[in-house]
Amino acid sequence: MPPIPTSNNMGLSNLLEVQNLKTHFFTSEGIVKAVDDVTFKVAPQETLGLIGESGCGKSVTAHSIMRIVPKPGRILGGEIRLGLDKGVVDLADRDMSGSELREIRGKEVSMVFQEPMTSLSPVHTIGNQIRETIYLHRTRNRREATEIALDILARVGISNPDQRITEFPHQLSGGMRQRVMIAIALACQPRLLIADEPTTALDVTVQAQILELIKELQEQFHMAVLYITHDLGVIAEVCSRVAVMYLGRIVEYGAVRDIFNNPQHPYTVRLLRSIPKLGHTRRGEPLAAIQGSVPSPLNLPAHCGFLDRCEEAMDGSCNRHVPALTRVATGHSVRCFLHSEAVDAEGLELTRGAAAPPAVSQPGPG
Amino acid sequence: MAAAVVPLIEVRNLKKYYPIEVGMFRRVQGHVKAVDDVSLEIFPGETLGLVGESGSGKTTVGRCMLRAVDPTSGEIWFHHEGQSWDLAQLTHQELKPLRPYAQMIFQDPYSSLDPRMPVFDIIAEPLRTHSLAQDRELEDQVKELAGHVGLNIEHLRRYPHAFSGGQRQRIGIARALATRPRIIVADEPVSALDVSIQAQILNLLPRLQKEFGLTFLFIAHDLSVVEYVSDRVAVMYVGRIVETAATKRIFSAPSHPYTEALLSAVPKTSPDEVKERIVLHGETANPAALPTGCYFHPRCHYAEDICKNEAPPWVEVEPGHHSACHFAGELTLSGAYPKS
Amino acid sequence: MATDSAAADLTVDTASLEAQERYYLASQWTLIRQRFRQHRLALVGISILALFYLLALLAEFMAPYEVKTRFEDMEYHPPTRVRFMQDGLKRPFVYATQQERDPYTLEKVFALDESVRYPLKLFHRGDAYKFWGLWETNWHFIGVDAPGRLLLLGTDNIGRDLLTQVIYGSRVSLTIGLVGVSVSFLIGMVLGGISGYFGGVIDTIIQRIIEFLISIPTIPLWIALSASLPPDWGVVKSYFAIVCILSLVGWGGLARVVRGKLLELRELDYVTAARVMGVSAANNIRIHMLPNFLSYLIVALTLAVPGMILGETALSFLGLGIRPPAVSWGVLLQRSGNLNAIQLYPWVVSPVLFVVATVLAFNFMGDGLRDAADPYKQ
Repeated sequence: MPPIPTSNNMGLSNLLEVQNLKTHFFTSEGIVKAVDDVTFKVAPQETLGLIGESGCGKSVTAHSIMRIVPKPGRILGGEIRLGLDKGVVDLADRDMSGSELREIRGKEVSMVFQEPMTSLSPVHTIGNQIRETIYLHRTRNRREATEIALDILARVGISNPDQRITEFPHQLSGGMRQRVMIAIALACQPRLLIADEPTTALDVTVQAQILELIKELQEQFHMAVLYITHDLGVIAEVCSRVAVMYLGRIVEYGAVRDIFNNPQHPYTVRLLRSIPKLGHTRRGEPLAAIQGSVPSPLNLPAHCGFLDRCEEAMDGSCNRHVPALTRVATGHSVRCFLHSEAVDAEGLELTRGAAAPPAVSQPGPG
Repeated sequence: MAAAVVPLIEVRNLKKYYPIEVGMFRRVQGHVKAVDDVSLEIFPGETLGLVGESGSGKTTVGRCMLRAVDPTSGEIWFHHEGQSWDLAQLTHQELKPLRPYAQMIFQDPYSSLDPRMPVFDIIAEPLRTHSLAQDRELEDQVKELAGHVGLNIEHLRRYPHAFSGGQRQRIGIARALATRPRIIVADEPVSALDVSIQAQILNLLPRLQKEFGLTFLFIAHDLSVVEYVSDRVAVMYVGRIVETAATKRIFSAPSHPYTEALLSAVPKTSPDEVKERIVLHGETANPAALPTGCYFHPRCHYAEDICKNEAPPWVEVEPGHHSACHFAGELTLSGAYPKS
Repeated sequence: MATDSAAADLTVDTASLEAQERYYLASQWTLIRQRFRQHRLALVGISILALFYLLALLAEFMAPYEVKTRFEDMEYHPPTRVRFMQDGLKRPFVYATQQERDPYTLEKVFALDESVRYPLKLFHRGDAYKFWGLWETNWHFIGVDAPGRLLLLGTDNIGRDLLTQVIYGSRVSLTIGLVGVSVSFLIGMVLGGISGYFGGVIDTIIQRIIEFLISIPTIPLWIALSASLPPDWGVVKSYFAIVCILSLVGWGGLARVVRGKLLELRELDYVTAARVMGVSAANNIRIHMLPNFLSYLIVALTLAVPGMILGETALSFLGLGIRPPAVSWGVLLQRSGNLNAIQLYPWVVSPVLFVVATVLAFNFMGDGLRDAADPYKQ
């Protein structure tokens, strides 16, 4: 199916709109709802942080946008609308052909991974790996492609790119490799960069370098960034808005200041208080730890995912229904019965008001 | 500061070199200096935080102290009840009776537990090894330990694969506590855990420290965690300690440029925080091909000629605050705390 | 752990909780068994092998005839057809055959005598034999009354039943792999262990020896070694000589597996933890390292067996391995090793099918074991 041009009717005010995305894994032990009804938007040139612990579905969300969900995972439903010059495309559209996808991947949307060594091919030079993307999307001329590659390497802060371009990944340090990964991702000047924990494997001093680099390049290239991390500090550093994920769902969504200064979901509240903050946390003062651990994502029951660990869980609602993501203030939504009685059901809108009558939900099978 | 207090552990000029072998018959061609002339003291009841980036040798220092790896040279004095032993000189036979006094907590909660052993046997292993308890007594002790670290004693017959990362870390801690050690080397005990679980372990360790009268060597790369748990901090850079001081002092008034850069690299704690960042260029020196003079000089903003040529002396900047920098005490460096 | 709050939930049923608890209490071997059972091909492999080894174990009983029995008038008899139909469905039977000369080509042919049916009998009393050389009996699993002949794979050039030969031959062919692998396992384990645990100069020397051994082309080495065996050695003696030759060549690979695994395990945190605890080196190896690499070793051993079986077959085929009158699959192939015979009497190469089936079965089983060997892999 060709991309549906929205012609001149409004189009997208956002660059990326993910609506009710569902990506499930069908394993031999049961269904893992890695991403279950996730909705968020990324405006042009903004940085949205996607934060969560391991297994919360943040990486699967990114993989769904790139359409690289590994088997036995499948995108079951929802839309991933990307605003392009020629109109809006739905990346969740299963009929989209491989060539259409390749046209978008690497050119309009590109991705930087956590482990630079495994994402770079060990048998090709840095230059060839950058040129490969450029050939695909920008020019077939080798000289031009080399010039673009040299330019981009210089811009990601690699000294003497003329020499580096002939080297292999193993000749570079971890930080340098991550810079090369970023260079490859930016070679075609994408509108959206998905950064999946790009600094987690790096040392603090190198992490600081890469964070500064991403911020700088974002301004230079006028691109939006979807920044995936588990580190609240990194979020505070680079993001303008934040989506907090827990067990496959977004539990809180808002401007970074709202999330840090006025968190609403019990999970976010506890998470922020559970990390020691340099210069702010007193020695010996107990941290507000969250009890228990993340439950197994297998065959999730139909209630709030945070139920078992929440100190404010209410019998009758929290253990019976999944709360809906509800707006509590301008640009700030929470998925919690403490703030709204709205119950989640298929296709509920992101900005559904607090007054919505509790829809009938299924209290689990049987 | 407290000169009269006898340290529990005294490390003197510890070195650990790994040979670089080449060719068919593994000719030794140089050394990787993982730990290069490290000296430190750990006093009873305190937590010494050992900070550094990957490749700084902090883990190797911890492992040498417990003789999990054998040091190349140096002394490791252990003072206990008026007696002293140089752990570096003892044979593994002679070391065995001392083993109960020093234990270790590991970073990876998955590889640190034998997956083929039920949790009960994992916690009981040190007790059995040193014949400290049998039968009923053993069972009682294991259950008590499990209770101390917050494990459900109903679940002791389970195998490690039944537990989450945080619970596994608790099992590892219970095992380390089994022999009632004096000192525990905790090697990045929270860095492999999820954020929400980290806090559980960070709350548990000080509690256990009080209950068991423990001394900790806390090895970590996360400065906020180190600040939270440590009484004193030692900062390592490619195999050497560059600065040690009481936690408050080192975080508010560092005297080594590397410490300053490390502190400034920590991400903001809130979006409103204004932070001036010293971005270091380049990367950590390669311990197989070290720079001359001060190892940090190629990345240092304050480096001068003397730094390229001469190794810096170990100077006392103020009581209990030492630094290995030619200009220690002369530079005004910014710490992690906002100036008030 | 937080089951109390979830107890109120309707969706938690006790059956799945019990299954979960069983999983939590499952040891390494239980988990390996469970994973192995999910591997279809491995189950096929292990069933084939179980059948073959059972045949080998009870060869005298399972074979329709005695190994030395010759039917002098029945050289190159084609496989007997088992029939079910004669005026309607009957219990399985065969017809007797008679050797005749084709009046035109003068070729020997076997004519069917359809007048009498010889039904197949279970626990038939046939040729007398000494079971495991211990007691005399004449029970056979299956057979027909004379003059009917049950020649399911036909006969060879001197009228011996091929199936009987294959079953007796499996004793040598199937055990030589196991015995050979055990010997290489012993050498590999000791030398690999020394190499991996002590390291240093010893390690270097052992590794260079292994590299040297592996670089020698196998077949010429086998040939050279077995050609040097005295031809007057008895069956048992030459059997063990062949085993030694095969394992001398084969231990290098196993030693490498052992060494590599030891080196890897030595660095594991729980092994370090045990060392710091004061557990002695011997106990550390016994308690923590051995169970860990035992499963890998079993995989390596399983995958090494087919090589040994093929080795024996190849040597015997070349007339350098097991020698007649001993029977092995290789010996059977050597007897049929004549193009003319294969063209005219294709059933004489049927032992090849057994070799192929065995080798495949071992590989399937090895595959399944490899997938199941580390149930803790993330």
